[in-house]
Order: sequence, then C-alpha cells, then structure tokens
Amino acid sequence: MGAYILRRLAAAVLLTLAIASGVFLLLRAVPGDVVLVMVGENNASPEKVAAIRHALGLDRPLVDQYGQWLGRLVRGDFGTSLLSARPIGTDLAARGTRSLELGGIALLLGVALGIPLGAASAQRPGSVLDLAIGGVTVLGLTLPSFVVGALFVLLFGLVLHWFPATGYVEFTSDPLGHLRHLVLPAVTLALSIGPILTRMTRAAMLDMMGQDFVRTARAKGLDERTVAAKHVLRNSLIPVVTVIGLQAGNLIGRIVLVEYIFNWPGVSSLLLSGAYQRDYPVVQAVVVVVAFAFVLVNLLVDLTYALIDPRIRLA
Amino acid sequence: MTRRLTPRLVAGGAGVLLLAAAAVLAPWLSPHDPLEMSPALLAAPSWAHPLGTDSFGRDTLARLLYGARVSLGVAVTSILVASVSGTLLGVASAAYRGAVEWSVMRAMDVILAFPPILLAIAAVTFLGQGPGKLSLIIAILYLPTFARLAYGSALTVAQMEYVEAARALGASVWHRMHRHILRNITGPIIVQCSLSLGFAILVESGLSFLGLGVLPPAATWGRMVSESRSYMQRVPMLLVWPSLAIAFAIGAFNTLGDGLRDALDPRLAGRLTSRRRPGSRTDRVSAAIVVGAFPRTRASLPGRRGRTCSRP
Repeated sequence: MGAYILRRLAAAVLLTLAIASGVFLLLRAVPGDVVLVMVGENNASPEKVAAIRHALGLDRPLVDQYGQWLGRLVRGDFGTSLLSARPIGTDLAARGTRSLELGGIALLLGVALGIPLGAASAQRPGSVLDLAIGGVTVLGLTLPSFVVGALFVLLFGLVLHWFPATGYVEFTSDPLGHLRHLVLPAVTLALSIGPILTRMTRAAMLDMMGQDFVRTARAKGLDERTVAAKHVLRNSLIPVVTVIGLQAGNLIGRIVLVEYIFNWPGVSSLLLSGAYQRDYPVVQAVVVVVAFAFVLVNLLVDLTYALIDPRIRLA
Repeated sequence: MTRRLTPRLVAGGAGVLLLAAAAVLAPWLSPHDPLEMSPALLAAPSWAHPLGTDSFGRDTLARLLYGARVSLGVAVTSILVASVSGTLLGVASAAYRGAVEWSVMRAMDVILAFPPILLAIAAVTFLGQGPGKLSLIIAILYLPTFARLAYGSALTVAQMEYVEAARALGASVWHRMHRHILRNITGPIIVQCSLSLGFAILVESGLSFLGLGVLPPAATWGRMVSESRSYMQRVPMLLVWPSLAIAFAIGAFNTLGDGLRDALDPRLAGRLTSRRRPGSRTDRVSAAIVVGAFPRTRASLPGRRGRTCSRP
C-alpha cells in the first residue's frame, strides 16, 4: 500500500511539474511578438511595449523566466492581470470557491441521481422502467451541457419562471436567492454526469449478477433486496468510483460552459475574459490551477480505488 | 469473422451519411447564402425561408446546412490527424519500447492531465482562431486516446506467435509493424474514430458557442446556439434547430461507433451477459467501453490482455 501511494504521489508531482512547464511554454507559442499581439500593432508605443515586456518578464533570459515562474507558483503567487492590474490569486480564490460550490453540488446531485437509476434499471433488464431510463440516459449523453443549459434558461427561467434564468446572489446577503440561482446550473451539470453513472452502474450490476458469489448468496436464502444491495451493488461500485473520478475531471471542462450560460461568476468568467482580451497571465494562472486540481482529483481517485479494492494495490 | 449489420450500425451509418450529404451538398440544397441578410428579421418559417431567419435576416436552414460543413470539416480533419499520428506513435512505442515508449507515453499523460475544454480554450487564446488551428488543437486533444489505444493493442499483437515467427524469419521492425501489427489493430481504432468524431463536434461547437471557435460571420452550430440566446423568448426555434443538429450529429457518430464495435469485436458485443472476474482489468476496460461516452478515460487504455484483435 505504501509503495503504491508513493508511486502515485511521485507521478502526480512529476505531472504537476510538466503542466507548469507546458503552460509556461504556451506564452512562447504565440505567433509573432506576444506583446504586439496583446496591445495591438497600432497603439503600441515603445514605452508601453517595454513596460508589458517587463511585466511579463520577457526581457530576461528564458531560464531565469522559467525559474521565476516555478518559484512564484510554489509560493502561490500567480502574478497580476495586465488589464485590471489586480493580483490574479485573489480573484482566483474568490471565483474558485463559487466554481467549487457549483461543481461539488452538481457532482453530488449527479451521483445521487445516476447510481439509484442505474441500480433500478439493472433489476429487470428489458422492462419498461429499464427502457425508459435507457432512453433518458441516451438523451443525456447526446445533448451537450451548453445546449441543455440554454434550453433550461428558456424553459424554466423565461417561460415558466420557476427559477431565475441567470445570475448570482451572494449567500450571505440572500441565502434563499442564492440557492434558487444555483438550481438550474447545478441540475444542468448533474445531467451531464448522471447518465454516464447510470449506464455504468447498470452495466456493472448486470455483470455482477452472473457471478458465483451472487448465486451463493441467493442459495443460502438471502432475499433479493439484500442480495442486490449488499452483494451486487457494493461490488459494482468499484468501476463506478473510477468513473465518478473521471467525471469530476470532465466536470471541470463543462463547468466553463455552464457558468458562461448562467452568468455564474466562477473561474470560467476569469478564464474567458482573459481569453477574449488576450490577458495571457490570467489564462495561464487559471489553466495551471485547474489542471493542478484535475491532477489532485485523479490522485484521490487512484487512492480511493486502492482503498476499496485491495487487488489494485497489490498489482 | 462475421460482420453483422446490427440496427445500431445501420441507424448510425444512415445518420452519418445524412450529415455528410448535408455538408457536401449544402450549396445546392440550401435556399440562400448563409451570410445573405434579408430584410425579414427573425421571420417565421415560410416558403422563402423554410426554417425562418435569425436576427440579421439570415436563413436558418442555410446556416444549419453550412454549419454542418464547418462542424464535420473540423471534426474529420482533427480526428484524421489524431488517429493517424496517434496510431503511428502508439505502434512505434510498442515496437521500439525503451526510450521511445517512455517519452511518447509520458507526453500523452501530460496532454491528458488537462481537462479538454480548458486546454482548447488556452490553446485558442495563445495560438489564435480559425478552422485550421481549431482542427490542430482538437487533434492534439485526441492524440493520447489513439496513441494509448494503438499502443495497448499493438503490445498484445506484438506478443503473438506469428509476429515472433516473423521476427525469427528476419523481418525488420518496419515490416512487422506495417504488415503484422498495424493491420491487426485497425478494428478498435476505427471504432474509436467514430466515437471521437462525436466528441470533436462537441468540442468544436462548445468553443464556437463561447466565441472561440471558427471566426464570425461563418455559420457554425455552436455560434447559432449562442446567438439565439438573446432572442430565444421570441423565437425559441432559433435555439432548438442548432441544438437538434448538434445532438443529432453526436448521437449519429456515437451510435455508429457502438454499431461498429459490435460488428468488429464480437467479444465485446456480448459484454453484458459475459462472466468475468469482477473488477479485473478487462472488466474495467469493457465497462469503460460500455460507457463509451468519454474516450479520454484512462480506463479505456486496454491492458495487455484486454483486447482481442478483430482480424486474424
């Protein structure tokens, strides 16, 4: 177990370093002169260009720049935005919490929705219930979350007026309003995770039902409920946990689109305004932080996996 | 090997053919130029505009048809690049092992370490927009999927006795790769191509939706969804049509992929009833394939014994 954890940790550290280096190199991948691209060829006075070049550290040797970049990342210093001149770290922390809130609730909702539906579906394969759940699942898998989000804004926000279509209210100023604003984006995101978990749980449970130990459980007289809950479902959850972890990663990507649709002021607004206005340090900071989070999630999944299934850590 | 025309294969294939026909025949099928602005703004469907017009008076049907060109064009180009180069990288890693294997596979790990949409947004920010760059960026996103798939399959095949025999007869690495390995791993790669095409369309439309895809005023489905949002209360169909197009395209490629998998890999076809050791490597692989939805999963990396080759 110890060796397995060490191996995973070492891999995660190396990957983190590789990500930091990759994002550092992104700035060098800009075609032409980065600074001229940023300020625009026309309104580039030599002083302004020199100032930005200095702010980005481009006037120093590459090795120095790389060392400084890594050093600052280790200290949690993400630099300053070129447009707002504010420290990126502060903005990132405030918006990161909002994204985490949305993503966390969506993940919980997706799991709470996906696994029971999959389990119900697996009870009688081919039944009406199974087919109905299967149909909804396919719909959930094919509709991209930004399409679902846009349709939700239209239907529940603008036509039925059940929930505020878009926007955000601070929890401290109006708790109920905050939650009402949370519903549509969280459900949209949950619908992108739930169907995958449903399919996964169903497949894994059907796979498990043919196993010898399930037959033994039945043979010793356990009722169907106990067999399904204690023997089939618990063993089926092993692959499902991996998928939950992978979906947590994919969620990070989808959250960008969903936050944009619902005007949820999370990390994605920072990323997108940075992308639209060529505020390179902001984009670099967001990408690094989110990719680190992604590595962390994957590491946690690997470790959880080893906890659940002893065969993994022995392998 | 038996090739079965399952309903999924037929339905998926028909859907993809329909999309391809729409894309190729767009100039002949479409009633108007997709950029032509008529005075009828946000018009209801009529003979002149079968699906109505958008806020600039542009014909919705024309924009949908031309949007298919952009989406399919970007998706096909990117997956072609990703599958060919990914397969070569994967097979080369399996053939040479050692330093080649290590560096290729670690590079793939780094690409996979980024959430796809995030990496795409970052790449667009730094590299710039346009269909060519977009295809390249999506190709890089899907490179690891193909490299890992080809690598895993090639390792399995490379251990087969007939490859061993070829080596004993003095066949060169290239000969073995080309003649014995590459030809035996095409099945899974074709399946993956179809599944990845659906996701390439998803990424392309997502980026276009955010305004980071193909530059305006070109018609793309993602931008149509985005533009319709300001008018969707008045003309909800403006949102519905491009949404349907995106869902149809993704659904068609996924169905085709599933159908191809059933046809090319009979072992996986009976996967729901087969008996395997619970939680084994093959089990997780097939479970991930059942999910089918996210080809970028680590679990889709086949174990050495995890995958059969579909052709003898």
